[in-house]
Amino acid sequence: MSAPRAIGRLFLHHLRRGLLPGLVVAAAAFGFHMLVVRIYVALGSGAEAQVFGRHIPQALRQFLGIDRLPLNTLAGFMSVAWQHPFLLAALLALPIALTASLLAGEVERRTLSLILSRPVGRVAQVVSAATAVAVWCAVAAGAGAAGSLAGAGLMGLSAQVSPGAVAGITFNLFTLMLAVGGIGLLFSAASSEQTDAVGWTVTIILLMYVLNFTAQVWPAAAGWGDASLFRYYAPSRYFLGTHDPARDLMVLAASALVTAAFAAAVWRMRDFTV
Amino acid sequence: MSEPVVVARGLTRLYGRQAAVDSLNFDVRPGEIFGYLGPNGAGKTTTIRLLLGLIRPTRGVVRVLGQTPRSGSPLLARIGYVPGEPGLPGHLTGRQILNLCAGLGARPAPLRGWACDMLGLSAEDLAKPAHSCSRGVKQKIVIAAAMQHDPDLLILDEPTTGLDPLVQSDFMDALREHRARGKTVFFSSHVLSEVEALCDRVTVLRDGRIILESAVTELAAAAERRLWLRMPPPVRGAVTNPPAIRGAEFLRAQDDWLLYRVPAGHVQTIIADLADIYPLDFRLESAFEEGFLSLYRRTEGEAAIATPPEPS
Repeated sequence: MSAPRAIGRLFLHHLRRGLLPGLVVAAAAFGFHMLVVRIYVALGSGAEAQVFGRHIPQALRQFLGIDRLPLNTLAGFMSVAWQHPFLLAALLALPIALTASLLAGEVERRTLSLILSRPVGRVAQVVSAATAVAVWCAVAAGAGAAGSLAGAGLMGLSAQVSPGAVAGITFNLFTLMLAVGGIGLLFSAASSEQTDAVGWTVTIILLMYVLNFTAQVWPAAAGWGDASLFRYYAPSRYFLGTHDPARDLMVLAASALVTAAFAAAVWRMRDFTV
Repeated sequence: MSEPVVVARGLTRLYGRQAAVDSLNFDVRPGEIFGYLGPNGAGKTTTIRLLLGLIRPTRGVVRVLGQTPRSGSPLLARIGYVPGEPGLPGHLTGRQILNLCAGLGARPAPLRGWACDMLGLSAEDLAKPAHSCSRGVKQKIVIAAAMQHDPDLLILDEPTTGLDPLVQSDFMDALREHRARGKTVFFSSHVLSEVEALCDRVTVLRDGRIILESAVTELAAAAERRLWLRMPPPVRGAVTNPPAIRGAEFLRAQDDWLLYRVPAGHVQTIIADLADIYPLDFRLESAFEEGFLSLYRRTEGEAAIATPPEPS
């Protein structure tokens, strides 16, 4: 059993490791969402985007959620922004990189002996790493929400954005980041090099993204989507207000917990030659 | 007699079919500096990983301070560890690393100042990020981190690597001081002279098996000596007709020095004979290292020296 003070110290150590990437991604998410509102205004309150949107195939419009939430509304424009591949790539890179650094990275840098030779249990180490990653995911996702609301406020469009919907999307995105972080943690716990952990995690996440996309645009493969984490992340539904998000959130949270538990079990069983 | 600090019985660790260590039996007594000697690949570091619970034994038992070592065990708070190839978090300063290690141990660090002074770690050294420190400074930080909480057992894996000779000497004095406070040191090394100078007992490892256990004083007493004599001119005459010394064998001349081999147990005889020879100067050196290496080579290819029976 690890001493609470030791676990607290380790948590601060892990938190500190994520400081720079966490702040960079949070700043990027904040800036991106502010910019999205500015672009919406620049496109004539999305009118030009709506014209462009009409040329998008129906399946893709359905995938983006703009079949029911037009691009000439700020909500529709924002909902596309919240699932823009660039934003998702930047945000999901954070838990993937951090989890790889906090477990496999410690092995690779040969710094693990400093920790494992102290009375800190391995499960506590995984829990500490997971908590630190969760904190930075919350900061990054929250920064995106703050950017959306700040952008709308600056452009005088606050009335067009429901803070409740933004909060819901933010929490949905946070749970998606946690679920991705859980997979990252599992591969990190099983690896001795960060590149291995990142490589395997990115491969799985990309496969899931493609699986979800395929399921959305190809009716014959519609059932496959349930196996993808991205199936449970749908910003447009929060703006439409027609969706009970509990199932999505529970699936993502459960995925994060199960993979983190497996990560702890793997880390606990490993022999370390550090 | 107090209980041993470390007890290994039949300790075996296999990697696949290859035994990294095989049927190790040894005890480390309280208040001693225990030398663990062997060349690279002999199994020293594997033994240390077993002592710290970083890996599990395939067979056998190991007990440290009366407990089975496991990750996260409070036992680890009583141990200080200097790894063979340590890594440090490059973004942290030396002081932050010491704080981190003390915090993870959940124990105060009463010896930090003493350890830093002894190792010559200055405030400037401790204020620099680890990535910008020299190898020697990094090694000093790791040693200070291992000693700062006054551990009951220090486990050192080739700790003098990267230290300059002056600091090495101070470090060895610090280990003696640690022993004088009743603490125990497990000192793994492949440098014979360090073990001879520092350790009370030595266990020698070859290919994962113990081939020798002895008190260092016994080993040193059993070792040959080399006697160097500086004779008055003309030295050439002395070379062609070196003075006879009972029990000693003349080997060669070097500049104006003559070199003799003195078997163990003949020291008193040669001192008596030196009085009749009137050398200008003389030096008597232990051939501990040569003797040890000769023993080591003799065991090469032979079965390992029988180890004590495994416990029930």
